[in-house]
Amino acid sequence: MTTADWPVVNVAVDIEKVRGQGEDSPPLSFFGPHQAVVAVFDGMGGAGNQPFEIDGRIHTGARWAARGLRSSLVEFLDAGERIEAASLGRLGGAFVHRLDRLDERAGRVRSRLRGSTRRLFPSTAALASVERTRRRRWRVTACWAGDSRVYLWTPQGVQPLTRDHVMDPGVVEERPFEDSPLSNAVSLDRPFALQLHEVELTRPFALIAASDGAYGYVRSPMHFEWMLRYSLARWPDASIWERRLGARIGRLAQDDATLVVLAVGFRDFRDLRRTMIADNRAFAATYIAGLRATGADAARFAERRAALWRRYSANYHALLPPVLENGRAHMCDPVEVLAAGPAGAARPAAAARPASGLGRWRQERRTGSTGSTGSTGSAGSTGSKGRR
Amino acid sequence: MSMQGLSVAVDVVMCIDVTASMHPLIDMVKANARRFHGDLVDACEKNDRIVSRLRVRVIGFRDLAYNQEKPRDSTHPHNGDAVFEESPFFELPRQQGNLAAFLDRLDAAGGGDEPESGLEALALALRSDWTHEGERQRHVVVLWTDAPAHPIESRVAYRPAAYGDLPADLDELTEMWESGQGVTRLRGNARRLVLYAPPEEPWMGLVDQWYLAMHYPSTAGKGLADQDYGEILNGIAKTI
Repeated sequence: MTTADWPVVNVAVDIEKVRGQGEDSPPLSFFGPHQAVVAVFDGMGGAGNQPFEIDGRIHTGARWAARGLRSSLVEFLDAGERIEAASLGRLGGAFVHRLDRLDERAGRVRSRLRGSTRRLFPSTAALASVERTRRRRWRVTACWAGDSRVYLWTPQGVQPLTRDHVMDPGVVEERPFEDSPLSNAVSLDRPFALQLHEVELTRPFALIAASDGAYGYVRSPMHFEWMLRYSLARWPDASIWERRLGARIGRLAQDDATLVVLAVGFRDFRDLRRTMIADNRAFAATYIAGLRATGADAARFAERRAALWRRYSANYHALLPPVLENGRAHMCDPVEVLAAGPAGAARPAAAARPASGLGRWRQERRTGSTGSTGSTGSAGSTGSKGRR
Repeated sequence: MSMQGLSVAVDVVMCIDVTASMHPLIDMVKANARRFHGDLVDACEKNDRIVSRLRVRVIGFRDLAYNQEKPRDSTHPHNGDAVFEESPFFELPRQQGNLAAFLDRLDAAGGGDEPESGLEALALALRSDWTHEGERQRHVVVLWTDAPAHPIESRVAYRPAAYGDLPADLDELTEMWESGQGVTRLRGNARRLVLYAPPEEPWMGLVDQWYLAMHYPSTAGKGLADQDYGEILNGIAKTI
């Protein structure tokens, strides 16, 4: 049985705050022979706001990067590659070569700005693959760089399968209501890490890949889950759910926002809906109504939210991967990748330079970056995939 | 379903070199300072970022040694004691008039040799009474100068008593920025620094070492090209 035979529900949200200038790539849903993959890429608008002209169009390096990485992933999967530990080196190499081709084609628009946070074609990446290993057993593999996330959503709740790569690790577990600058993202001028996390599942589930615009403008992780639950309960089919969820995210987000859901193992949308919203009433009573009752009292709201977060976080963080460290991620140094030759020659993870520690990340390198397009193969673009 | 978005409070501290060498530029810098907050709000709105509260304060700075050694000119409104001229935070747009009045009072005068006390001004900015309101904050420091800065340690002896507890050297100042040492209100995740300064030390090294810092290498007598200015504003707005 290939992924084409799986009954899945697949919806996607793609919101550009300024039309034609969005720095998230369209979300990706890809159905290969053995793996289904969902992915989002969020070009870093602060670090990558330098404009580049490529093929007569001027966009920020952030926008070029996110779209370039998406195309690169599609080519990677079209070539029969899988998302797994053994392929991470080749995936990182493919990202670098794509950004490098962009840079070769780019006519740089003059900019004299400098800074420690400036990056050449910077973007986050969050992707997740699903593979059926037995009749009722799936392997889910999340791979990411930066603060775009992959969540697992089951009747037990929403659980991140990725841990944000941020300067202040406290915002991940203790203070999820705050934000922090990134400590890692894909770019052409700095080494970066691709982290991997696998889980095995035996019951139906939904995977969600989301940029920070989609999850970061609700008032707590409980509100993010409630947004999913409430919208799913309210709308009778997947296409309407997709539109309404997109409208809700669009109203809250103060950034470009992308999110893609892939639900696996359910008979159909009605089965998904029935399973996921069964305890909506109890969830709302526990986590939402109490917060709403605090009204405009900011101090009471903060206090109540902190108490509820302590209760919610145990399950929420049950599948959280470890902190990014050497040996737990593939380190990808663009200098070494490009020195090794064309994309096909990129080395596997085992050949990665072992001494390349996180401390080296901030070293400077001056080069240029990427191109894009490429085959779309069996990739869905934005919006929902037909099989529901 | 009623779900509310996040509120973001933004504080901007503008450090302006007001020594005599800035005379040809001071009107332009003050004009930039006047328009900066409005342009920042516009850039935020263009990017659909909502700023729930915006405050701005100004710190004019000269040279500690020159101001201490120079005989007092009691007829000048900014005599030897006024090495730093600090305003409180002004709530905008409500106190726009107060901000404009403070900027109008800044004269380009004094300073002596070319390096100035820009690093001490940065330290004062970092010690501001930064907002903790809203669910997220941004603490932005913008510094305009046409000169390098004296090493901090070379000016310790000239400090008036009120500034005795400023950092002893650049390492201490770097610690203030990087780890919040000695500053209780600055939030690490909220901080941003924009330097309009010549491509000289300490500014070049500082922007390479300090996280979340941007540098526009200014040329004496020349302002910002619109493109550069827009890029800076967009860069800040997109991190709000």
